[in-house]
Amino acid sequence: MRGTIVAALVFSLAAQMALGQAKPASHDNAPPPDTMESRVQGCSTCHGSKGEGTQDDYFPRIAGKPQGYLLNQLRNFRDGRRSYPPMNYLLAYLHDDYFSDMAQHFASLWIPFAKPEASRLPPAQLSLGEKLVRQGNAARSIPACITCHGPLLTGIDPGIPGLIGLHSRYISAQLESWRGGTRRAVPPDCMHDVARRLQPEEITAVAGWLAAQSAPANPQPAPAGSWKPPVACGSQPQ
Amino acid sequence: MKRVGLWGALGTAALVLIGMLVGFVWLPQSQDPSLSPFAAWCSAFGVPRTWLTSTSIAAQPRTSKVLLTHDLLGEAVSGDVGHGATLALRCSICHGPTGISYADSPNLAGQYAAVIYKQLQDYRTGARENPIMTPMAQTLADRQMRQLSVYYASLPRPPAAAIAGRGPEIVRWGAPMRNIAPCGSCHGDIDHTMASPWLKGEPRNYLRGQLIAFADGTRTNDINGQMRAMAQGLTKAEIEAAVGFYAGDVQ
Amino acid sequence: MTRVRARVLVGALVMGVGLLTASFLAAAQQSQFLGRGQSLNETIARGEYLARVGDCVACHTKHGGRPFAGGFAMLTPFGTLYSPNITPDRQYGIGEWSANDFYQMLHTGRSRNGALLYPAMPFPAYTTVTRADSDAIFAYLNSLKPIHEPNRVNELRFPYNNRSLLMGWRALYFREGEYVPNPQQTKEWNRGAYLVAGLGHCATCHTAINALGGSSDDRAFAGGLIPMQNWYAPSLTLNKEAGLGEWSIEDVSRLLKDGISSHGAVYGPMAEVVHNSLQYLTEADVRAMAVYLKTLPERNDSPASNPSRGASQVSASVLSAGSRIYRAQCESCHLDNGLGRPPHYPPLAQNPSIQMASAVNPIRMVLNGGYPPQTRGNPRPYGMPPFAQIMSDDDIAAVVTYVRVSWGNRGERVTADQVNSLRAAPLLD
Repeated sequence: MRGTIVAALVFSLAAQMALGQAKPASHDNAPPPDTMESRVQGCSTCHGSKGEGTQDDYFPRIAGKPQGYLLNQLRNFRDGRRSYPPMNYLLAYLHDDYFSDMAQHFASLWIPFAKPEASRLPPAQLSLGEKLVRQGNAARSIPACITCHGPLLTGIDPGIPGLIGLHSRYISAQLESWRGGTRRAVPPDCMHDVARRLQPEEITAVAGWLAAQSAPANPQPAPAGSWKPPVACGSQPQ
Repeated sequence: MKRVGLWGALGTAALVLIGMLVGFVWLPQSQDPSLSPFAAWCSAFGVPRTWLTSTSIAAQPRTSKVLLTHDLLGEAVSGDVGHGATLALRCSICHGPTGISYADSPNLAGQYAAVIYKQLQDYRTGARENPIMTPMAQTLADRQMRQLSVYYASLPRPPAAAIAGRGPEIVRWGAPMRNIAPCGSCHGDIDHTMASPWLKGEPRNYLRGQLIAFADGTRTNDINGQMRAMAQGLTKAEIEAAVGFYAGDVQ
Repeated sequence: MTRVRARVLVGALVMGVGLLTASFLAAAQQSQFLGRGQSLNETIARGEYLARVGDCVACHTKHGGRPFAGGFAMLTPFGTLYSPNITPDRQYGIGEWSANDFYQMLHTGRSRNGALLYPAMPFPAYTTVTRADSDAIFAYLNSLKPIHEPNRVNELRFPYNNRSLLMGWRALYFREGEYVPNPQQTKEWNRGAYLVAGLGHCATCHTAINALGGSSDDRAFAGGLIPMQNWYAPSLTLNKEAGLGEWSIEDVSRLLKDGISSHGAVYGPMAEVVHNSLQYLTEADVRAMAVYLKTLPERNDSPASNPSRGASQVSASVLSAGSRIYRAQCESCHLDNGLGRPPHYPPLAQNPSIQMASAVNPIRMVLNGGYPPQTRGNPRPYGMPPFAQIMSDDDIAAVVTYVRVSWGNRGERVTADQVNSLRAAPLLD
């Protein structure tokens, strides 16, 4: 009997101690944990607390994107090849080595995808979008999106992003931006070359179809080296 | 009396005959030498050149629903410029962080507020179409469009947007015989009509693209088809001259 | 000897003499800025260090441009100025300049061709630079690769586009003269004064600028709003602002050299200063600057010295809204007692940047967030997220008010209008 009481006391004491440890020590102002997660809180209000994106159309999902792609975008924002003042401002005085750490952190996060957008496009336009994504248009030298972005559109390591889980407005904004030259990558700018050949209604179709796709069972980017570039791409290591 | 009357009648008849010949035969033929005299005569009487053969009417493109009045943007609300600034962050991707684009998208810094408001409304209703602007405009409420408009109107115009020189003939005089008004009479250089954009300093490719779009009917949100009518009458050389002047060539 | 051989010999002799002469002339050119007993390499290294102290690269490099090639657009209330190319390019840069020309330019504010410089180039501060230091900086600039980049014409409004008006400005606001050490102060203090008032040109931002673009000596370091950029450079003399009376020398040194400290972090234009300039200073120099700054007399006549009020002047509803938002958005980093988790999550309690009379900086921090600069002392900075897109003007006003009056802070409330007006402030200079 006494043993049981002692055991119960010890147990409750241990439990209290464990709970005490788990409770956030809001009065303890020791420096924050030395983790990347603490360091990238600056990204959370726009990209979500784990990089999963938010309701906003124009703040994309960054979790699970290939590390090389995220690194390129951080550098593009810092160096002005992509223009978005809050990003340009946040990244202005950070260097490539730290960007590598940030990119590695987000690339390694596996967060379930949100439900895909319900498309408002007519079926004819959706199937035009699908055709361009899967087959491209050889007559106009438009490669199929899957030749670079992976057979399941989940991207290819190290530097090509997946296209699943993005809002159609974000995708059409980026394609139009490339077409017009307001989004730039390290030359030769392959996306600019491809987007230039697209008609406006094709951009809408492609963006609408992509946004409506669900994530495949395995959302990992395809391994490096599993593709042959149909166009020259300055941002990708050769 | 009788003699004057006879000569008077003959003279009047001769005048009428000469007038008819001039008005119904000579002038129409000189306007269009390819017509035969009979065809010229008929067309002068109002007979159409070709009769309507089909009964189907082509669908009219959507036109702008914006009603231009002096209080289009309503009362200025304090705080609109600030809210517009936050909304405009997403526009900076194409239109630049200070409303001055790095490429061919139009500069918005210092543009008339009514112009921006009208274009945003037209994108939303489909009177004007663009794969990126249309979905963007559809997410904006009316009040947000007003805020964006006054924000961009408050930004300083780039120095390239100051008028230098008087421009080529098509800009200064237009082409009255072809019903083309001088560009500056609406677009601000000489005078300004509501919702006509300030053109100086806009990217060359953008200006050319829009004039061609008006000319071939791709763009249809101009009020009463005025721009379409005028653009159709412009020659290629005139388009280049006007575009060159507004984009920055000094004349 | 045959004729041919003779000719070859003569040719070789001529070439040899020519080469010798050329190298002698080059050496003579270079030697014009050798310090006493220093080799050329040492002088260039010293010049590079001093150029960093002066932060030349920040204004003489445009966004995405090559260093020192100029073209940086400086927006002022008088129009836009474009900085010139200061690489040793013979046509567009300083390739034709001598060390004397360079010193005269720094010291007197006149360019090599006699033109008066606009005080966007802070020659009123650089006039204190010694001849030896000027020569070293010139040697460094001359050692750079010349960049053939033409200079952009300034776009100043009438009548400011007339340089002769500067004569009047100079009469009011410019006193020429190298730094004269104060014999009653230590060597370290004098070094700090030389750096702060000279190459560091701190007073250029940290002093209020009047409508003519000048500032009065007796308000030096008393703080001021940076025109066009809309950040407030806090007073360095007032404890209530960035006044350093309560900071230790070590605290100040860390802030300047690392960008973070136990009292706060650098943000806005100061982040650029630390990143491009101060992080490269030696510990001794940074300490010297801190020693000097801490002796700046506390002034109560600065534009910022309003009596602060604290929580009693704020309505309960604003306080409770602010407290609610603080708990949801801010507490996880800055803690419920406002002590933060320094050096990475700065304290808000008793933080001078929060309490100062100008609300510009706290509001802009909430609107835009920020990462402190990546420096040797802080190689992986912790960032604060922007809240402009997810919080309304009223919410931001409530939480900033709450922070400014809680935990014994003696700041004033802020209004939604103030928040709104800062949304349009430029984020990139």
